[in-house]
Amino acid sequence: MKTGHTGKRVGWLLRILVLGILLFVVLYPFLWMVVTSFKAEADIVAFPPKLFSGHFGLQSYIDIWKRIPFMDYYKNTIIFATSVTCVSLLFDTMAGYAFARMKFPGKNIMFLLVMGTMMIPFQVIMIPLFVEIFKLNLTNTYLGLLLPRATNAFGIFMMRSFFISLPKGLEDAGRIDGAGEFRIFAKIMVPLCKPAIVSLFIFHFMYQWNDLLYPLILTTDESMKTLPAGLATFMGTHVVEYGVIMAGACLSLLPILLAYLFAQKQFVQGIAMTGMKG
Amino acid sequence: MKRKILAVVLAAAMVLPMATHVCAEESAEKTVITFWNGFTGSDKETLEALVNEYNETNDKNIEVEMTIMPWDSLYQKLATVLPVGEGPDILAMATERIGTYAEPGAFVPIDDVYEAGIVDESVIPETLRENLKYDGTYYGVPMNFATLLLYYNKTIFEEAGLDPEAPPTTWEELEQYAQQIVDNTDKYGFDMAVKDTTPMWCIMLWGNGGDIIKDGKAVFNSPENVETITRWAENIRDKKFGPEVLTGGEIDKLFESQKLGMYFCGPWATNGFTDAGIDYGVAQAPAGPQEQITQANGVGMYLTSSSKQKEAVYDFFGWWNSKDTQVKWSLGTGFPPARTDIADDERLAENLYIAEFAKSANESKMYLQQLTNFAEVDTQAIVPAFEKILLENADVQETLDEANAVIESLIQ
Amino acid sequence: MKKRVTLEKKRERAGLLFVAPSMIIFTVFVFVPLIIAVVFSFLKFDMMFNHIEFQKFDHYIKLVQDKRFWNALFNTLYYTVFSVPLLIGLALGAAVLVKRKGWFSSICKSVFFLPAICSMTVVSIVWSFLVNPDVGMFSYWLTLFGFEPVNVLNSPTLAMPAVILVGVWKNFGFNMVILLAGLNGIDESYYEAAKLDGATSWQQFKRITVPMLMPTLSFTIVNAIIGSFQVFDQVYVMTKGGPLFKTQTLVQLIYSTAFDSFNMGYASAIAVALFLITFVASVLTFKRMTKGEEDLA
Repeated sequence: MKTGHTGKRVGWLLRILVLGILLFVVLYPFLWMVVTSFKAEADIVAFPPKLFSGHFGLQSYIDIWKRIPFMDYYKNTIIFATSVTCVSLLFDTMAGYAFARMKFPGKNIMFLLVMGTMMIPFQVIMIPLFVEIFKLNLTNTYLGLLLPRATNAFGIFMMRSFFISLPKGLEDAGRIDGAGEFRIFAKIMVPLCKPAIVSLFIFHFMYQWNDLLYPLILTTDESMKTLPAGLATFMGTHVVEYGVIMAGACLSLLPILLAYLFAQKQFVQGIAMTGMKG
Repeated sequence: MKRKILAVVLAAAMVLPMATHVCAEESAEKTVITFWNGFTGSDKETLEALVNEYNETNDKNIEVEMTIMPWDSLYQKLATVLPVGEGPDILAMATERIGTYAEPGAFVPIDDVYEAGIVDESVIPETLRENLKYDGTYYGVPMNFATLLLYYNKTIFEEAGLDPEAPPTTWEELEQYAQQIVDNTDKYGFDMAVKDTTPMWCIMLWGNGGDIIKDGKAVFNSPENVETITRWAENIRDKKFGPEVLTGGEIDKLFESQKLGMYFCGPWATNGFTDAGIDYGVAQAPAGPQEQITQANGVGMYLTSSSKQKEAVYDFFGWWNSKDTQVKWSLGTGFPPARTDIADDERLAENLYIAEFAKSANESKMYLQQLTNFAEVDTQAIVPAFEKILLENADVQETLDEANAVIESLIQ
Repeated sequence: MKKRVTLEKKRERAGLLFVAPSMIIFTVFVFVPLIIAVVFSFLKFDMMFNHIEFQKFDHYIKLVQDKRFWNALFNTLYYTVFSVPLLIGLALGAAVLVKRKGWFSSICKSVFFLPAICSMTVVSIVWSFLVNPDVGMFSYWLTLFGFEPVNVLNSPTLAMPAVILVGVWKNFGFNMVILLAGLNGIDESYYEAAKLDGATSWQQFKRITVPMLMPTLSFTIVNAIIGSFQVFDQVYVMTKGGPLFKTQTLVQLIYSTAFDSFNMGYASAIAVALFLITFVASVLTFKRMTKGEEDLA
């Protein structure tokens, strides 16, 4: 009994220690990022390096505001990221569910094909894809941006792995009640996978939000530019302005961070619900 | 609820593009030409202001619609749009890439710009002029032009007991000063970047009468080059003048944090260093045993095969290369003007350094021009050769022989 | 009996309907471009798609003899072999440690996810700065302890480990969140029963957590393998594949072949090879890990 107690103590200490080190290693670069975004350029590369030294100010943020049409880019990115996320979330969940718990001809082959789509670098299919969108007359439209991303193998794969871990025979209750397959999916299965769906929502959103190359390739019009493309223009060819780049990074981080913090509450809710069912 | 959101999103996705189409039709009587380039960072502001000025003042109702993106994104985007004829009307990029795009016909010959006198070829610095051509035909007009000079930190010079107003003028002095800085201070003396920038080493190669490609043949392993590279590799690696292999960004940072006494750099750095409060000077590249020479970079503007607005494009080309625009561009970016007849324009006196950079325009050469695969020669042969010598202490002759064979195979 | 058959048919049709939207989108926007890319790998053409020549298997023959391909393949495997276990191990460890409720766990959960929401480009810029031997904070601390700072990104031996560590740093939180969602799906009563039987934490982890988490775990592992075969962004920003090609990965080789050399045909051939390698590696792993999975259909 006594050894168990000290064991617990040591375990507790170890946990705090490990997590503490991890926290530091993860947080420090962010701290640097945030502090740098408030520093004057000349203080950033001073030697010896000090985190809190020199003058602090909002100059980098003002610069961003002045130098790019920030709100336009923000708007485009929100439309692009939100529409893709919502549509893709629906299709991914449906397909993931079917691959996990339904039987249909060609299932295994199709699942392998889906997995296969994750193994192709975008650069390789980029040219044919652009030509396709161009021939469909969809360049420079939000629809043209949305369609190729309306489903995502990662999402399908992830949802499949969650649906498969739900207990066997859950469907039967619904079937006895005479509910259709879609009803079973929407009313029984989806609520049980809520934590996974919420995480996938965040993943999809942040993936689209940060994507530089895809929206840049599929549009040619300045009015369709997204935030990552706008922020990338602060990376000078010869001169790197760290302050401005970090300020831009902080600004683009904010919405996802808020969404994540909000979603964390949802996770807890999701757990509570599964607990009740079980 | 979910379906409702979805419906709204889908509807928005359908309607919004239509809205933008309506806007485009309204300004139909204007001639709109598109212009893509990679002038990111601080140059972007000056460029945008100038393009705006052109849009407001030109009397032909031409509107230039400019898109700026990082150079590597630009090259990828071009690979998708050029084949289907959806490229911009005007492209800007470094002159060493002309061959890559001119050979397959993505750029269009523009000898007539010069024949019609829209751009005056006689005022273009000679090095730049020759490299706006490919196979003897003009493909570009100047966008900007820069030479590299020796930047030196006056504070470090004083600390090392050197005269801060007397920068080195020869290789021997450069070596002596760098040694003195290394001996007397805890700073680095002199260094040259190897990658992700204009390779500063070629200043040394040319200074000793060497070259990389001459008359269509690879001459990277010439005895002069072996001598030059052995000498400077020893200086940097063994006498610890500076860190071995640096990128352009790293070496700028090193100088900006006042840890490096001297290095070669273009005019783009002056504004940042001045703002950072560094006491520095710029001087012509120290003369080598054979020649006093430096490196030049040029960016040209090109008419693409996608364009159907040749006249409007030429008008913009002419305006860009006018005296007035060149002075403004020069003042905004710190680059010397791309024409030789305005060096004494009094407005340029505002920036102390422009005149110094402009001075070396005709004692300069450009790196790896007139090739169809510039990027391959640079990244597959030349950069690895320097890395091998500096990082792995490889035998200079052997490494250069090997690299020379690679270059030879790439330019065939 | 007859009714049962039609019911089965009906369910099959429902299954197809469920996957139909995704499969249609994949067909139009991934498979068709992919088939075109495979066709490219047998052709030679210039940037404007002129001068098209049929090459037969020349690109593939060239590939087998290409030193740069083998080097990039080696680097990609090196990256995969070290980054996947490190990444998933760390993610699983963190997930187990922060699973419980409480403010400290909450903070950890949020902070560990932070790197995932940053773009890889920003992450690479920040880390390149921090480890810079002359102006970086981390190297400066090393000098305070009397160590000589090394330019890790410029060292042929240390550049790859540095790139791997940055990748792990960026992605472990992301995988942790997925694993957490899986962990939360495990019924607490299993643990309570095990505690009553006097099982240690390690035994609980081995006997309950890992088996129950298998579907999620296999997903994160396969996904990490696929992701590491596609590694590009951090290499591109941090080292550009250098020094001396020691960090050049397959995707980066594809990139430079396609956009520096404009040899789309050869780039496509490398991509086909990469696809086959990834496919074999990930499907084998997946099959192995999901062997015990019950067929729930």
